[in-house]
Amino acid sequence: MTFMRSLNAGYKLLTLIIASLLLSFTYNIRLNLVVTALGFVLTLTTTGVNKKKFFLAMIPFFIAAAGTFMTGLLHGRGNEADAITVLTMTDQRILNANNFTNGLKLASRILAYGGLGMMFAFTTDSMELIMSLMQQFRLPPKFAYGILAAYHFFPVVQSEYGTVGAALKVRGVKAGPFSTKRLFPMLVHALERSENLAMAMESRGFEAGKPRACAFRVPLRARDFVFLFGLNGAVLAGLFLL
Amino acid sequence: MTEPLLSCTGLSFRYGKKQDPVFRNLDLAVYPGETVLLMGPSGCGKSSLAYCLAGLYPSYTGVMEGEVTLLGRPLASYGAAERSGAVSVLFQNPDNQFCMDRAENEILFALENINYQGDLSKRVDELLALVGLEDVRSRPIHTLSGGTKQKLALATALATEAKLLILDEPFANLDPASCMRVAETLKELNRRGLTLLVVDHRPDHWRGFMSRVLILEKEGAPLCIRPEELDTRREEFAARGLFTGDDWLNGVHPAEEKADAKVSLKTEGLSVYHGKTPFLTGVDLTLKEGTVTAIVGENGAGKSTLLTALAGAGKTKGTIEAAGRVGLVFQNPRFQFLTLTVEEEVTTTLKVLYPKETPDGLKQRAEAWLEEFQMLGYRKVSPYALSQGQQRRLAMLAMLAGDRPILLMDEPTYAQDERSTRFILELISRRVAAGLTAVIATHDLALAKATANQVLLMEAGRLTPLSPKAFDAYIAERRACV
Repeated sequence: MTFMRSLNAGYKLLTLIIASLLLSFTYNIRLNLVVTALGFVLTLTTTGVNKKKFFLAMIPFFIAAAGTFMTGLLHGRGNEADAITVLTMTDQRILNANNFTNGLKLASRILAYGGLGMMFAFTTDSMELIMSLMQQFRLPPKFAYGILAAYHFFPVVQSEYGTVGAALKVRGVKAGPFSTKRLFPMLVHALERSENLAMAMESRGFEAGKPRACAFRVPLRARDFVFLFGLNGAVLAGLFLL
Repeated sequence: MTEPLLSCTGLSFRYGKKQDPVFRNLDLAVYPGETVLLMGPSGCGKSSLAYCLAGLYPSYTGVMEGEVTLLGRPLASYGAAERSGAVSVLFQNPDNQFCMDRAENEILFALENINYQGDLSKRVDELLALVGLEDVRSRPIHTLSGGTKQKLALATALATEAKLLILDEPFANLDPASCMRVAETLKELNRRGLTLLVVDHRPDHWRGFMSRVLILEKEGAPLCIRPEELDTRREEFAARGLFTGDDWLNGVHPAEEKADAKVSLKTEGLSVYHGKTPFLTGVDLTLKEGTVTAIVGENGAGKSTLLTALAGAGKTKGTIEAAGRVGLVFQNPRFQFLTLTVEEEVTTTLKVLYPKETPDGLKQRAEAWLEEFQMLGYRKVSPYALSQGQQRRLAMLAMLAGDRPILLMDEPTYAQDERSTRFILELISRRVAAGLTAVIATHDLALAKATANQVLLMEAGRLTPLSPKAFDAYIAERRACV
C-alpha cells in the first residue's frame, strides 16, 4: 500500500512525536507491544520498503531492549515477597516477578519507540519532509535549503573520507578512524565547501525573505488528520483499556 | 558606443584590512554580447575580481573600494534575487555548487528563487535542452560526470535569466572532450546573445569566439589584446608567464631511457576495485627507473583510483612489486596535508625516514628540501594558505623527502599558469634524470606527449599502451570532436 508514503511528512512526524509522548507517560507493556507491531505492519506493507534494511535497522533497538530487560531483571529493586531463586550457569541468582515486569516495561517501550521511528524513516522522503517543514511549519528557507545541501553532500563527504585515508596510508602515518589527522583536512574542506555553496546559492538568486515560486507543493489532506487523530486516539484508548 | 553591461572604476580589493591589495585602481567594462577572457599570472586576483564583479565579494570576504556598475546602476543596490537576473556565476569546482539531489530539482530551485510564474516543469525542459542535457533530468547529481555537472550548473545559472555569465576556470576539472563539449555549448549561447566573462589560464577553447583578452595588471586598466593579435603579441604573454597555446612545450622531450635501467614497479594481472566490483582488470605494467609514464583517459575512467591502488592504498587483486616506497600526489593536494606549517609538513615526513634524528637535524634537512623547491620563504605559512601551484609543489616535496623512488602524480599541472607549470615540469625532469620513476595522470595531452616515455590509455576498464602513432591519432581525434 502507499498510504504511509502519501501522508504529509511534517504532520506524520508530529503525529509520531505525540504518540511517543503519550507512550512515555505510562508503562503499559501490552500497549507498547501493540504499537511496536503496528509500526512493523505499517512499514512492511508499504510498497518499496527495503525489508532487509528495515530489520537491520531494528537490530539495535532489539539489543537495547534485551539489555534493558536483563538489567531491570537482575539489578532491579524488587520486594522479597515474590522472589524466586534460580540457578544460572555460573551462580545462584534471586529473581523476582516485580523486576521481571519492570524490565519488560522498559524494554517494550524501547521497541515501541524504535518501531515508530523506523516507520517514519522508512516511509518518508527527506526532501518531502524539509519541504513540508517549510510549508506547514514555517521553517525558514535559509535553513531548509542548508539542511538539504548538507544532506546531499553526504556521498561527497564519504568519498573524501576515503581520499584522506588513502593520503595518510601513502605517507605512512597511522591514524584511527576518528583521528584529528583524518578529520582536520575534512573540516577545512567542509568550511570551504559551505562558503562556496552559499555563494553558488546566492548567484542562483537565492535571497532570504523574498517571495518564492513553489515547485514542490506538499499537500495537507484529510488523511493526515485521520492519521493524527486516529493513531493518537487509539494510543489514548489503549492507555485506558489495555 | 553602447552602454556597458557591467563595468568597474577605481576598483581595489584586499583580503584583510592590513593586507596589500590584490589589485588596485582597476577599470574595466564588458559590453552586451561579448566574450571577454580575463587572464593573469597565478595570484594576480583574477578570481577575486570575478567575485567582486558578481557581487559576491566583499560580502563573503575582503575589503573592496571603488564602484561596480551593473546595467547602469550600482551593483551594491541589487539584492541577490534581482542581481541573479542580470549576472550569474559558473564556479571552478562542479561539486561545490549544487544544493539539491537531482538535476531537475537544482534548476527548479533557481526558478523558485526568481519567483518564476510560468510552467515550471516546461521551463526545466527548455533549460535542459539549451545545454543538451535532456536525458539526465531525473538523475542524481552526484552520479554525473564533471562535464555534465558543469553543463547542469550552466543551465541553473541560465534559469535566473542572467544576461552575463561569469565563469571562474570552468574547465579546470574537465577532460579534453568534455571541455570541447562545454565550450561548444557556451559558444552557441554566446551566439544567441549571452555575454560571457571568463577567467581561464588558457586561451585555447575561447580562440574561436572571444571578443578580446584582458590581462590583469597590478594597477589600473588591464592590457587589452584582440584575438587576432594573440600570436603576434606572444611575448607579452610569455613575460607574464601566461599560456598562449602548447608551443611552450617545444623543446621539451621525454628523458633518454637508459639501456640498463632497472624495473622499479611491476604489476601482473592486477584488478582494481571500486567498492565490490573491479573497474579495471588485467593490468600488466612495467615501469623503469628514470622514465615518465603518462596515463590519459576521460573523467571518471578511474585514473585516480588506479594511482591510489599502485601506491598501495587501494583495494586490489593480483601482484604489485615495487623496488621502493611509492609516493602519491593527489589532484587536490589539500587532502594530504597533516600539519599547520609548511616546515612541519616536511619534518613529519622526514621523521618517519630518520626516527633517530634530532629536531635540529630534521629542521636542517627540511630547509635543504624547501630551498630546492623554492619554498623556504613560506616555511612558517599554513599549507592551506598557499596557492594551488605551491600546494602541489609542497605535496611533491613532502613525498620525495620521504625517500620515494617512485612518484605518482594526479594532474600535476592542473589549474596553473605557464610559469608554475614549467617549474613543476623542470623539477620532475631533474628528478627523473637522477633516477626517479614518475607516473603522471593527466588531461593535458600535449604535456603527456612532450614528457612521457610511455603513454597508457585508460578506457572501458582496460589500460592499453599507446604507440606514439596511436597517441597522435588519439590527440587528433580529441581535437576534431568539436
